[in-house]
Amino acid sequence: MKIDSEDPKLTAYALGELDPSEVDAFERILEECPEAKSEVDAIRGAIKTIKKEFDEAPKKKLSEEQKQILFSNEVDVILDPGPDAFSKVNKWLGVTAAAACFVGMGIVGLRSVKQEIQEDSDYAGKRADATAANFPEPVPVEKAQLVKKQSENNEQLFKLSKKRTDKAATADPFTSSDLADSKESAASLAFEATVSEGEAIVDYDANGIANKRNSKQELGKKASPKPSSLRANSIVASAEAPLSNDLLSVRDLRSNQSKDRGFLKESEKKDEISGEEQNLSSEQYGVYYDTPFFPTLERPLSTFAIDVDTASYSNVRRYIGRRGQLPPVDAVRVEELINYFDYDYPYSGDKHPFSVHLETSSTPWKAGHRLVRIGLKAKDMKVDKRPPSNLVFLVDCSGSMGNPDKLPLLKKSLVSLVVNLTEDDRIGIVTYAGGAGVELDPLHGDQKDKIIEVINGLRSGGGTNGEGGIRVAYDLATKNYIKGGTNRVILATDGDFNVGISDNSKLVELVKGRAEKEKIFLTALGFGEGNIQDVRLEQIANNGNGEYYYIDSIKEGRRVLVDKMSATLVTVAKDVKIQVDFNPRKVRSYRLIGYANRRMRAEEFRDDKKDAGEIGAGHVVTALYEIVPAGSTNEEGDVAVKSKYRKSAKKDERSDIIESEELLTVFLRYKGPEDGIEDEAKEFSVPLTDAGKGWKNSSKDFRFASSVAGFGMLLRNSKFGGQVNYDLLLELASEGIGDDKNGLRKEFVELVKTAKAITRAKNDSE
Amino acid sequence: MLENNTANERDKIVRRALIEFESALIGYAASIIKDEDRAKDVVQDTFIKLYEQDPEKVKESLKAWLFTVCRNRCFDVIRKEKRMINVEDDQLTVIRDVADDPSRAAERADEHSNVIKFLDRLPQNQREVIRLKFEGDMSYKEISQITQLSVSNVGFLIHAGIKRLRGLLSDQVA
Repeated sequence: MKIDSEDPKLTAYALGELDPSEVDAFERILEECPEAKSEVDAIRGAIKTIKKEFDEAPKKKLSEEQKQILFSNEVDVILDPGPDAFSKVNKWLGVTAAAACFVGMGIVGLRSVKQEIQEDSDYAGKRADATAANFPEPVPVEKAQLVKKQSENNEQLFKLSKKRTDKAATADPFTSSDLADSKESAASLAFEATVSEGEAIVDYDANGIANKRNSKQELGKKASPKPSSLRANSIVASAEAPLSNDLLSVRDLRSNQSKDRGFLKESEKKDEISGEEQNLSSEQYGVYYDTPFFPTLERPLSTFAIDVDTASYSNVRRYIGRRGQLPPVDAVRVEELINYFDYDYPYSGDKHPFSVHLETSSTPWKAGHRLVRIGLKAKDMKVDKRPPSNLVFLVDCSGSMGNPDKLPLLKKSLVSLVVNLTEDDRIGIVTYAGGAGVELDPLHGDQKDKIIEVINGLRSGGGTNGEGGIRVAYDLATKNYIKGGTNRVILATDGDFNVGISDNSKLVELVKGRAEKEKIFLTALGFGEGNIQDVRLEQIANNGNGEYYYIDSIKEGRRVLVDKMSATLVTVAKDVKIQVDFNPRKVRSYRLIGYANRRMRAEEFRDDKKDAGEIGAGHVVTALYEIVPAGSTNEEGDVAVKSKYRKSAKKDERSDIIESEELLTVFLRYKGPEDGIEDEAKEFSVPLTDAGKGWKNSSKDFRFASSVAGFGMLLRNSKFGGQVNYDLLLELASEGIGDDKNGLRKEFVELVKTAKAITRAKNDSE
Repeated sequence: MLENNTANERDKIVRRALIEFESALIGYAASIIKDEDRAKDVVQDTFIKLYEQDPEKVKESLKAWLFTVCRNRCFDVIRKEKRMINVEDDQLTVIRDVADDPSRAAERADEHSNVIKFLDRLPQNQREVIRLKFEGDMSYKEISQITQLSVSNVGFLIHAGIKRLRGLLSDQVA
């Protein structure tokens, strides 16, 4: 009898799945049929490979939050061994759940508070039931710990639980009204801030894990101190202001804002939110509002801090390129998109560490408007000429870092950095989870083998080590400080950075203090999907005088840590501020594109204590302004000032305007990298006269940058988008592609095409 | 105290399940719904469901129970999603196009070993049984229970799937 290679028995036999009664007969056939035998061998070989690869594949793990939900009830019981456990358990669970939402997640949406209140009544009836069914009787603490220690795999869970316990304990003194009052004042404060700034930077929980917690885990529902939170709720709702503890802000605000912006229909809004809930586990983004047009006569000065971050672009690329979906609006920071690309601005002169290049043409997406580009180019520094570096990597090794796009990617990126170090450099590694803190006492860059060995030995898993972390990293950097060199802590995390200081404002304070006093800067590298705390990472890097990069691939890791190493590591100027003075004779109104969270007050420009952005060697920074020319009938941005003490709006009062053909003047102010907070900054300025060029005659870089800006506006559904559309963007980008040595511009063109296809598919299905 | 014992049992069984099957379940769910984050949510739901079960009843067939619940949940999610965003063919094409982009291939090779990467090129049913077999370490019979396919059908799919993987692997070497 012959066996066909298609016969599934071959595989069944190789796997030991053949029915025992058939095995003998089958083996006899194999003896007679060498082809069949070699086929079995080949199958066995393949099976071995498959098994091996599955075994060696990194273990996939639930996030710590997800696990936390699974085991939270038992911890709550441990907290309370008293005899009246029943009622106390309820109380504890409530507080703990609230604490977990507020502290653990940092942020809780108004939406979920409302939900809680609504569900509270439904819940009341089930309460006794649920408690009896879900929660075991209290067991003594020691015993419970013993049980846990036996299971080493659960150590992490235990520590997590412990963390929650501690948080719950600090939350204990909360009475209902305290909680509500603090919410109220936070809310009204936030509201004031919103009004006075004209823009707000707020956080929200991109998904509402908190919501999930509440619905999945019955215990969350009784958390809200009812009457007072209702009160807080109504106040907040009427003020449309956010609430939460330290960083407050909320999705409802965002929804309202969306409505104000007038580009989201009710149904779209719903879709958007449910889409987020489906797709992100706990990624957090700040909410950014596009800066509006301001009238030149009322506000001739526009001031902002430069920003060289590029994290938003890598993140947008991940969404569109890899996940095939459009990113959440607030994950898109237009300036970070623009600044991801290199532009060919030459560095000239040696008086200042960077030079400025201005260009203006018509606005591609709005007839009659002008577009002004301000380009900064910092002086280059050859890799072999860069000053020695003292780098301490602070690496998140928590369980969630195990995914291939996290720790393994970080390790590869680190190795490629180490290869480029020299003996003058020093590198140290501190982990803040799963290990004992200092993994590598700083070694000189020529001891590459040893360094790489330590890097390769980094493992994820294990609980959070609160003792290790950020202080240790800074202390190590201080101990090895290189005068005149680059001294930097580089934080690498997927977002869950419990670095030993859980209070965000304290963390910011620490990072800021170390940067100011000890001149040790901080760079943040974000990794992975699903948990990235975008807003916190950006905030920390800003305060640490550093940059924030999102590493989505080994290519990006090399770009940041190898290709851009000088720029990433060597700061040539800090606290760089730009102030643009517009000539009202030429400019009716203007708007800054992007930099929404970098805008400053005009008087802060010459306040040298005021922190701003850093620029690294070879860095290129680009900012765009859209201008409504004087004489245009477009009233966008005009504000009619109505005051009962004045006869008319001020806008026609032009008596004091001097004669000048200039469009605007750009003022720049900066400090040297070693300057302290008391040192005076240097300043210079560059005027611009508009030659009236059309955008089709603008430089390639100009066209490319405007395509990227337009892309950002489109993704943000910006109401200032005018006639912007994908075809226009593709035209601009293809015309502006230039040499494109690194292929990044081509990649951008592909990204726009993909976004276009996604948008079309989405529209078609609606 | 009866409640207490049951609760302890529940706890134990969830912990055991987590230790033994967490990774395999996520891999399995991800192979069905094509998104690791959502797969994790599904797996979390599965463990929450497990918590609600009578431990005595699920103890014996824990693995089969977990994979069955996980599988059902995956299809729930997909159905729900279809209702919400009608996943049209051209949208799927978009995703695939990007995934097949050669400039990304190198990156993906960094992320996955070959076999796991090639699994994605197999038809859904072959991919599923192969994951259950090797990642879930299950017998044909267990796979048959979970997928509702006959044992011989499972055998056929695994055979065909391995054959295809061999082809892909040798193509790559060549």
